Amino acid sequence: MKKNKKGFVFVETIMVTTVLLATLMTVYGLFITTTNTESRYTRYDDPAKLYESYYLTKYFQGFNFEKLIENIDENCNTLTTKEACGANRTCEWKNNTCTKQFGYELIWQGRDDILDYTKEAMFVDDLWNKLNIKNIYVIPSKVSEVTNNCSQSLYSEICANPTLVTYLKSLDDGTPNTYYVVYEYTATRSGTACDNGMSIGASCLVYYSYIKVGD
Amino acid sequence: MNKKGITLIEVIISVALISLVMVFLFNLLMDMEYEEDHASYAKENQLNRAMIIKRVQEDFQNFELKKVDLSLDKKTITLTFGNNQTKNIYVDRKSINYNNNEKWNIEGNDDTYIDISKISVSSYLPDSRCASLNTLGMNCSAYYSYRIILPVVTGNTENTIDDIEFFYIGRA
Repeated sequence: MKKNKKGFVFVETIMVTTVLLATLMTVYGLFITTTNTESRYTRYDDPAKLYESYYLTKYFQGFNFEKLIENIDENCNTLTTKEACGANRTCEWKNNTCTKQFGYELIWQGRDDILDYTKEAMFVDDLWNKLNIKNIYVIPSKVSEVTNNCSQSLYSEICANPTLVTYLKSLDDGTPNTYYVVYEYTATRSGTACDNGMSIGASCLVYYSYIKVGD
Repeated sequence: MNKKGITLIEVIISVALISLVMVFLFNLLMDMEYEEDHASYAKENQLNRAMIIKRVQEDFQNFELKKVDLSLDKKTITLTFGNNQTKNIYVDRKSINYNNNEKWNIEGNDDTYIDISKISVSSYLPDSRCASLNTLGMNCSAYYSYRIILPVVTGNTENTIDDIEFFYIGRA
């Protein structure tokens, strides 16, 4: 039998190498995505952050926290005057009708109608700075409705924040009349506050935790 | 039979391409090894950390934390509760002892330790005149907060929080 002693030709070597390279690049890309996702999960529901969130929620409940739930549940269509509509942050007066603008609520530092900020200013400011609070959302616990309806303007602000949406997707769907108070904290890798203007990324990390409220 | 073989330039190009593949492969393996190391340390640390935080925070909730004192050498944190009971957290470079009956060691390699010099207790305390100011209709919060941080240094440069933190909000 005549033996083939030609071996690989140059073109074959290049083709094999190219295929190998492409495969490895794909594997590497998948690996990086997986490790990034996993490292992000480690920043979800950290025990220390959970206790901070618990005490914060308890503190808010000592004021006008119920108003937030009422706002979310408000049927804006029943409000017939501009004044009544304007009194609810989640409703908007448009073309002489009151329509739902947001399906969730926010607690910010100076929110006087919820926190009695005039009286609590120094304490609240201290909390915000000490704990590096970025945002606090109050959302219906049926989170799948939020994450699956990102095209709806009701959740536009939440949906504009992809890291928050990823976190919400990791939560269980709650029962009716229950709400999640979702806390978004930012900090550097060493735990200090992110500098002003520092964008979320490699040096400024986001941490999430939530507390369930309602029935 | 073709006895030409391959030219030097073809060999160089082939070696260069194979080297590129090997670099990718090497990076991938190095990353995997790092992740494996990191995951095992992080897991040990995080489990331990969660247990310590849960145990101390349970007392905060059950007995209402009233006061926190940090000793000058930063190795003893004294917690005073609403029932006038006091409990101490004794901190060593490699362990935490809670009230002399529960002890946790800091897991990990030699690079993992509690940085005692950086232990901090921060508080927001209402003005002692707060109650009377509130009676007069003046603005003053009746709440107080304590935050205790025991910085844990690890080789972990990733995203987990290694520091052991305790937090409390109470009403004066």
